[in-house]
Amino acid sequence: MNAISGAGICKKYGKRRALDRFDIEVPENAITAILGPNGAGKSTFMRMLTGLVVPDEGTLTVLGRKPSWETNRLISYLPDRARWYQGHTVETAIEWGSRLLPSFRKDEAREIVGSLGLEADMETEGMSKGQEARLMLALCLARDVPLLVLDEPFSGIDLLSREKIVAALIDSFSVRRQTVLICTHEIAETESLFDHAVFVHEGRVALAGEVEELRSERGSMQDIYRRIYA
Amino acid sequence: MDIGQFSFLLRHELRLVTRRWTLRSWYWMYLAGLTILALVALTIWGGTDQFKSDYLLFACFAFPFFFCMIAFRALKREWSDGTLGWWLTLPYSRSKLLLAKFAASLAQSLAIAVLFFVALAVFEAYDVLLHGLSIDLLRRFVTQESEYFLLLLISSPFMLALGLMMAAMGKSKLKMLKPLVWIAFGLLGNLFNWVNGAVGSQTDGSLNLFDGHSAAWVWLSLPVAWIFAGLIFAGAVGICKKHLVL
Amino acid sequence: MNEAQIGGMRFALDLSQPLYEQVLEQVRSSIAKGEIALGERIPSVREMAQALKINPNTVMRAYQELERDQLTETRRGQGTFITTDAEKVSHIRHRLAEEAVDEFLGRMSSLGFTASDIASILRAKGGEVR
Repeated sequence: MNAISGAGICKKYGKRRALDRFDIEVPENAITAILGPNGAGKSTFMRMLTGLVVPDEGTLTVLGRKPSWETNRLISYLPDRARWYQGHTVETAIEWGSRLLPSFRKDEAREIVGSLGLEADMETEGMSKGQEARLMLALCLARDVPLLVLDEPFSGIDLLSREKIVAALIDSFSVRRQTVLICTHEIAETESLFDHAVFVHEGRVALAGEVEELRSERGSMQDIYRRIYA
Repeated sequence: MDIGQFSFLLRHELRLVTRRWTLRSWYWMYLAGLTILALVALTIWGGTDQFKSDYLLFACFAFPFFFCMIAFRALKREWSDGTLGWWLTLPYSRSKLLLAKFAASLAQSLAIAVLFFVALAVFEAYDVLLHGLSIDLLRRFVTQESEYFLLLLISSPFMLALGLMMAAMGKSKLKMLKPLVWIAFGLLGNLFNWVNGAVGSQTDGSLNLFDGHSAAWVWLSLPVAWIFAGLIFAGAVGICKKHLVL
Repeated sequence: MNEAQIGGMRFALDLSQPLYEQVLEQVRSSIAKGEIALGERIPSVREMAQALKINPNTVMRAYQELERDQLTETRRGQGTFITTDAEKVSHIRHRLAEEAVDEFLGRMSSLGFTASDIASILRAKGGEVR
């Protein structure tokens, strides 16, 4: 079963084609990576999953339905380059999640922020980028929903934060086996996490497949990445 | 979305709109300074025509513009603070998300107006007591304030909805409609001047909204203005649904 | 190459090869080498995935394969344990030995040595065979 399937998706911004006949299948209960450099169209696609962006052409179904605000109750989404609300602490952010996000597990959220090295009374104002990213990821991981969509969870944050986020993802996936979709251009630390990979090049899928097969046929994701985009 | 979720969202919005007031202590310094100045002026020149609380009351002519900016900021903040991705992917309809912003902005606007009018009524009472004027002056002043408050009630939903629409347009494909919104902003924000001109300035400054028949249309305009506010609000929702460029 | 140690087991994963096979092989050879004793509990899928920084699905596939080979057994609610059957372990040791010899022979023949050449080299090396 596919959690997400899209066919012939096009999206233009003015004259620039962000997505150009983009076809994709994302299998259930696996970790799928959307890989590609900045501007390849990855984020545009990720935003479509939550209904933030609507395709000009083509079809897209998420969990068997067309994306809309209603389907968002089943999706835990980490926005690209997002910030958290000012004036919150870790605890009030968790409160926010538990009051507004369906299937949010408050006690799990507390556990995850703890494992990510954050304390309940830390204020968002004084946080480093990495700490803020960890808080936002924790809020996403605390939701017991079938689909987890993470748009660039690793970009622009320090190495230790990245390692902690990877560890939290492994823990979460061990327990829940949600369908996970991660979009990133930083492959080195993360490629060992992926079941499936989709390489996006200039708005189209350049290569997609099961990571273990790609490894035996073509080598590591990093090697493939270099070959596609060099 | 149940009542609990909506009220939480409303409180969340309220906390964000009021945050700047608690964050910036210099707002309060200015307010305190102005209050002291007004009291001093009333002490020295009060009781004569040289300084009256009415003068201060004219400050509320700017309120419709001010309210519009409150709503504008409440929405604009989502993208300028980078929180849009969280807000707009909440599993609630765009109309409810915007309604929470609208209600929070309305509550803040009316709270500011009420505080302002109460403060001025206290000034007037001080003036009357200090200089031994007729208590009738105070009664008339409060009546005039109520009239102004009524005008704010008529106009504020419209101005707030307009603020939301302006902010949404700024992030949408409909940028070319912005001048129209600015024109509406200028014309309707200036409501107090229009009403003053139309009713004709009475010697006592009253608009005669409560006893005179001349201004029945002001009362009629209330539902009309609110219906227009609803239309503008629906327009803002429509832009957020279909036309945002993200 | 990602290296990790968990319990007595040592791993070195090469990201340009399928990870599932590497995990499977390396657990097998840990058992053969005795890095992990008979009847000992092996790390849970989660612990293993966490230590190796890899996808839990990959670990699970490798564990399922071990279970099929009856090298491990899962006891409900307690975890997964190495078999207590020494026979199976010696079977694995034997298989690994054969694989090593096959690999060795393959390389030698690709270098152009015949069976008798190889035998004489081995004899000459005598006690140096570890």
